[in-house]
Amino acid sequence: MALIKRGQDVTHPWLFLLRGFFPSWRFFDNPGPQPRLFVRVLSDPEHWSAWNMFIPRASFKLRNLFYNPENNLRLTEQTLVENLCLDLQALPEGESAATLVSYALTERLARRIARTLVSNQMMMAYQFEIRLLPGLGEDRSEDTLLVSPIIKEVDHVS
Amino acid sequence: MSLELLITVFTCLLTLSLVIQTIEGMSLTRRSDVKDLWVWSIQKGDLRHTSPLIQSLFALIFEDKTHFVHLILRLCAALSLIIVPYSLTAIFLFISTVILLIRWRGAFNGGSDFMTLVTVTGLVIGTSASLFGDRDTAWTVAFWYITIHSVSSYFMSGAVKLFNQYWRHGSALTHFLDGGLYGPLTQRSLFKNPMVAKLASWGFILWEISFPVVLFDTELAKVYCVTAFIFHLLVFRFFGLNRFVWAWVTTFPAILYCAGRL
Repeated sequence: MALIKRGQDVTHPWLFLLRGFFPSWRFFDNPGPQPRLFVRVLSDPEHWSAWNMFIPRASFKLRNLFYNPENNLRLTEQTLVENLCLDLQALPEGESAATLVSYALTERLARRIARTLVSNQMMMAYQFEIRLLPGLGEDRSEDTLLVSPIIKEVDHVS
Repeated sequence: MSLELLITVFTCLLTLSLVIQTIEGMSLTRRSDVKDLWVWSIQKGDLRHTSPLIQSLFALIFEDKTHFVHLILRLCAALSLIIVPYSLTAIFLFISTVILLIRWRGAFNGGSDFMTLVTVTGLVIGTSASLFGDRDTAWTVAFWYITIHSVSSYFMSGAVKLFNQYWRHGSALTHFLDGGLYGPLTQRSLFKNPMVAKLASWGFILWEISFPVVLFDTELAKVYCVTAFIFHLLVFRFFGLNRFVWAWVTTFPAILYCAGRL
């Protein structure tokens, strides 16, 4: 029953939060288009950085078998990007993406990444995109699902 | 192997799995990148369809201090399983697991959270049903519940790969390994060789879809459990998924008990 249920879209808010009760056990099943977060940052009035792709990467450590919070957190952040991608595709016509919880959280993730890009320099603004990178299918085109407005650093609410 | 021994091994492995997860969770509560991003004032939007009472309850549960106390209690409850797995402890761990799923918008680490929920549910069945009836029967039901989920997880995972042309071809394996936490693969990696990738893919597919044979023979079950442990270590080696190792290893005593009993 659980396996059948999970095969369908999880749309109800409670079902989304409690989807652990309906595991699908489909791991690495579809090498299709991959949602990725891209961030760019404005560090002086004239100059935007290049778009930087967020992808969780680490160097292998055996001790991480027993203690791995940092890497698990990065993987959770990628899951957040994937959830935003699904939310965007299910967003009713005319409704703003800014109303989505996944959007608000991704905006904060983008800000954190933007700050790492400028390191000691001052960050004036940042912007993010959600792109679908081509998978192994025949369609090799890249699709941009969302382009955020330019977010000024002074607008950030903690 | 006796049921008693397998219950003991199961509770020890579950303790290890829960302790690792909880200590990781405790360390995350102190991180500024968690405090800046995963703020409940935003996440509460996930519960906007619920009553104000439920929203207030979760706001209280996810306050920094309350959340940390919850994790300490969870750690103590997990450790106490080694001494005596009480029914109340099991129920607390079940509720705690559900709360943590909600904290991380349904999952922190995907499948490992789901399998943890399965094993904790098995613990609730085994300990609670023992209070009302025969202990052996209660744990037999618990172990079958866990076994069905664990065996079907391997089978389903293999079946969906079998029906995917890129997995049959071997290119999906290279694709996922390149995108893994410890990726991309180096040019000299064995998995860059299409023939090796294809053979490895078919090896995984056939091993996963044949996993239900463990139910028919105890010796086969031992071989499959050892292979599964190596398989999960490989997944950890390439994808960094440490919680998956312990979440699935916890199910092995249940599989060994149910093996050959069909």
